[in-house]
Amino acid sequence: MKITRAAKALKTGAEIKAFLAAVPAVRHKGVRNAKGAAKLGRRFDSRECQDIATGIETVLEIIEPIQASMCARGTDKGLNAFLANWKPHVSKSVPRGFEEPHKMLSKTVGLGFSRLLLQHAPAISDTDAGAVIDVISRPRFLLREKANILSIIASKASLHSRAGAFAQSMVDEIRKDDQTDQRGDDYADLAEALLEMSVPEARVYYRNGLAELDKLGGGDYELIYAILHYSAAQPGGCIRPELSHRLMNLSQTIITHDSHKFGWNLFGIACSKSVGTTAATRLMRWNDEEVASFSLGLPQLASYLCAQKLLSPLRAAVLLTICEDHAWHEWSVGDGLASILPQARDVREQKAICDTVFKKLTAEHSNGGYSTVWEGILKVAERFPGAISDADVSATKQLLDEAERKRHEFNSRSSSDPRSPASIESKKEEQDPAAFVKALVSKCDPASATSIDDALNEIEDAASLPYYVRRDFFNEIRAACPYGKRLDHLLALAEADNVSFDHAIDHIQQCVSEWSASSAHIPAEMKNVISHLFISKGSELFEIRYGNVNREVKQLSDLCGDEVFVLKLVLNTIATERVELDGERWMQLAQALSRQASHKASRDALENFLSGPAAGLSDQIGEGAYNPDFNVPDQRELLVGIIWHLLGGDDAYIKWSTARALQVFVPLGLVDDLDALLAQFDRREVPALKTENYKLSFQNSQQWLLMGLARAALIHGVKLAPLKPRLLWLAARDDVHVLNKRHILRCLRHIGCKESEIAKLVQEVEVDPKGINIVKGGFPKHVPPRSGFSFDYEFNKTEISRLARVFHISDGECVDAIAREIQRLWPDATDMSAFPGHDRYRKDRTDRYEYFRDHVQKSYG
Amino acid sequence: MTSLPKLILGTKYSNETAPQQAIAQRLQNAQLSSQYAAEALPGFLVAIKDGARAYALADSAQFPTSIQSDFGRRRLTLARLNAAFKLAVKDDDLDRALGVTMRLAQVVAANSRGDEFIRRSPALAATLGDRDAYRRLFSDRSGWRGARDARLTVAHAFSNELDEAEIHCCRAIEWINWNARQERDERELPSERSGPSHSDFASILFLRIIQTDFQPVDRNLHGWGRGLAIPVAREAIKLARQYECATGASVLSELAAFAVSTKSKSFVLKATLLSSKTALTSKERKLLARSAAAATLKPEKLVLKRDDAGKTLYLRLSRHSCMTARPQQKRFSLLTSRSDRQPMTTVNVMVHRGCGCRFSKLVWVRGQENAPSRFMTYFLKV
Repeated sequence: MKITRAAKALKTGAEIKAFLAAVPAVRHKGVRNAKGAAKLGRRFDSRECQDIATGIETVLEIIEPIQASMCARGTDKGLNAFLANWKPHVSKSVPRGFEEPHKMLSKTVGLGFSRLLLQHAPAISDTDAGAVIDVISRPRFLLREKANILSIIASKASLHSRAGAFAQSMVDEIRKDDQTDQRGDDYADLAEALLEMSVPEARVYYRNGLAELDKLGGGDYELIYAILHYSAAQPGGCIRPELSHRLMNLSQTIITHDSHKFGWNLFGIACSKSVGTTAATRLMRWNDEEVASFSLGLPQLASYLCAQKLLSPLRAAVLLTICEDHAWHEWSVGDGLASILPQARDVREQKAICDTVFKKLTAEHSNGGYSTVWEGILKVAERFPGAISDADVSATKQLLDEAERKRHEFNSRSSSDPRSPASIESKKEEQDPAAFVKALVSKCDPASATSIDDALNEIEDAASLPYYVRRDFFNEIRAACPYGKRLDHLLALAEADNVSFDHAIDHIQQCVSEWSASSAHIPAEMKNVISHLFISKGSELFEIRYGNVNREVKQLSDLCGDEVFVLKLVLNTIATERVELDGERWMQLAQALSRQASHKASRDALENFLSGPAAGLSDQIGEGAYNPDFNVPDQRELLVGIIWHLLGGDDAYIKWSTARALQVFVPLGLVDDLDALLAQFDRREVPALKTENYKLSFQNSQQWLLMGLARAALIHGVKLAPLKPRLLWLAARDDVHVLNKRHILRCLRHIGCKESEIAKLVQEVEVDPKGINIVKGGFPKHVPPRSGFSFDYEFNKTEISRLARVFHISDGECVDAIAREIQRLWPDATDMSAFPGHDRYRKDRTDRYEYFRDHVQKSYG
Repeated sequence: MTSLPKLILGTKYSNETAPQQAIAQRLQNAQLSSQYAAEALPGFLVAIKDGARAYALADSAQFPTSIQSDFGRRRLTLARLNAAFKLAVKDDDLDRALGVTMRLAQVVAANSRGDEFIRRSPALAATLGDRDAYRRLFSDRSGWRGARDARLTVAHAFSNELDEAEIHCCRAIEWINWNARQERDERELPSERSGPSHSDFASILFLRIIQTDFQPVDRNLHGWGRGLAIPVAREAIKLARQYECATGASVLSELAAFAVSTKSKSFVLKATLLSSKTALTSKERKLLARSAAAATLKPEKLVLKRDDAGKTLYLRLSRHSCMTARPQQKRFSLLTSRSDRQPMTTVNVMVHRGCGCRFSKLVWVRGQENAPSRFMTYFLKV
């Protein structure tokens, strides 16, 4: 926009808005201003006009002192007054969502003017510098911006002490970053800034930056995945808990960025082999810390823990049923069942597990589901006869057909017509590929590496040949190879320069699979062929793009049937050819070695790695270092802890689905676990699942447990009889809320009770102790609250007044009554500030999420 | 380092265990005081196949007192672990090989990050790093072909070895010009392209600044497009300021004096000197500001082209806009006639260096002083 004379004459914000509102939109090319054509709209909408006007006013307000001092041409450049104006515009925290444009503008403009003033003002006092540092130290500013200001302050001799102190405060911030590379960069920025002040001081920070680099951090994705692969492969068993905690902390650096893309299957295998059941508690804590939903990783973990005999198959099945099916690309519930079922005691137990899981899947995927889910189930039915009933198998087949039909229909919408001119099939080949390959094979000697190289060069040089000519050439030459030259052909493939290491393995593999039926000497000579391959191009093994040493070692081991032999060839290649490997490749090699090394050595190697300086940073990631409370050795305690925690969660859907899943304990024969769940009725938190910013809404756990039990009792009736004594004991307690007692009564009635046993409970639940009193008209007398409690706005407005009306009391008395109940449960609380969280906007009764503070307010029931 | 022990062994002591052990012991004893002994020992142990000593050495935390930094210690640890690995392989001791492999993974990963850190600023590595950091810069051959020479130009300049710096500077210039003359493959992905970065150009200008040879600096900055000239000038002046801080010399005052003189034509040089963090006095700044205000930017120029249908098109482009350090896409105004004030449309244009194109050679031929045969040619492709 041009700043015209009219624009310069604007004085107030309202005038700017009016001026902007009148600016017409830019005419698009080709649109003529013909008669009848639509009139051009406005260039800025009202919101944009408002934002621009506010932005201009903000900037003018911030720089007003500078303008005044420039006009006065004095020595004082107005830094003090500028900072006083700027400070209120800089937020004290990093905005989490949308930030007003004028706030962003004030930050950028203020920073720029601070730099200018610091750089060019004739004298900067220590107080001024302190004030600038005070503003710039806020988390709203990046470390790089802070370093920039630091370098200007450091260049003034009178401010060196101030600069030194500021640099030290920046170090604390740098250490909070879990990205090692970023830490190094920040240290370098700091050192660069301090170079203005003192070389020795800068040197200390520079060397600290170098020292930070030997630690694994958030940027080392490949290496962290390689460690997980190693942990999944090593046969030595679980490592020390504090080290396994470090392993999970390292994984968190990847999970934090996109939990849905993380390799949960790998994580599950790695944890089942090297961590143990503690990993399940970590998944739950990640859920509460909003790092990743527990159901992304818990099903895989539960199945692999079961396969490792660290978790009973029945409990693993329970965990499968409480998790949402995320349709993972590398794992399906069928795979989970395939891991769990071999551990079941008999077919009856297998059937119970499959029934439970199948019912859960059909309920969850009532609209069809993915084909992979049903394919997985059918594979299980095939592998474990009798585990899934015939009716379920035929239902699964129908569901699979339906899912396939939907998938094809969806895919056909985006696929192009093969007859279209753009498709590959319609292009004409300039040469006949078949004839070309035939001619090439006829003149190529399959036993000569040079001849194969020449033929491949010819394919490379020939223009307009389809991509599959190379593949056809190898197929043809294999078919044409005379019987007597078969071994020589394999040796030639191993030697040929134009055949890369991985392709050579593939071609040799194909030859062996085709010829082994007719040539006994070929498999017998495989070790020689492989040795020849390593002599010719051993170091290429480590240059394969996207390659993994393990995969090639495995392929070669399958060919010759001796992994130690292949491994020694690989090791000798590294040792003699001085191959330079990166960290990830070394780790892959370690993974291959762990299969042949002793179990103890494999475990020790991982423990040494995780206890070394490389993993030191992991104790600062996420929740920090290991706490012994995280470990729950008893399986039952672990399961009931998880269920109890989920029943008191924030999300109503999870509470509902967990409570519904309680009924599966009965067909799985886990009634004792239900009893254990009921036994912890007064538990306020599960130490293993406790996190810093999350508190368990235990009253919800109590209520949802009893609701779930009531449903289970309705379905299974007398099978829940072992719970009866504990339910009666709860019913007899005075401190159990009447709402909970109502659910207990439902449970007892469904289980089956004599009337005399529950007479008192019925009286308590169904008969109002004070009767019903109908009050006609009028409002209760206003009584101010005395408890000192004041509740959130929405709660006050709706819940308190509704409750007060029911009992015909004033709002103040109602507040006091709720406060008494809160103080009974939390005797230390004097007002609502004793509880974490803050006032929620637009919270109503039907809201899906209910946080700890909301749950405290609802203590009245 | 390992050639000497091998020679001794090969000629005289190859089969005598006692002298071998005696040498190994002496090297081991001398480790704390002699860096040579510490570096020679791992290779020597491999040569005499002394696994026990090599394994113990791999676990050792003893380093020469002359190696102060973690980075230097890590390099030595790497040599020790490599020796232990070779001997474990030779002894067929898979358990030990596994342990060493895991440690190698850790040390190698840390080392590569250390290299990246040092490479990030050769000036800081030379000033603030230790001898190891400096040595690492020499052995670092990563990046495009001229990157090493550009890095060493800066490192030598900061170590006050100006002759060496000049040698590497000339090589860097050769590489930059060589790179500009290379044919480019149209199908090459941007991520696969390699060539000089802003810091490589800046290292050359920086050396000229500290040599008080300001003419080439001014001429190049004046000739380049603003997209290239501004970041390069900023980087070169930053290096010059770091040089002042590190050595106590004063170079930017002289540069400022040159920039305000009539010899200087580059607006970018004046403006960057003004905006950068320097120790210039307010008087010098005022002079710079006046000089910059008086400097004018080159006018845009019209280039006549014909499209495929034979219709005449005019491309309006400033000489600056087609100069880039890397190939990149830009928007140009396409005019219907020479007198048009309003552009008819804008077109996206890929500005390349040294690639074939549908339009003929466009605007820019720049010669290096006294070397007219070496020039960079810029092409425009629509």
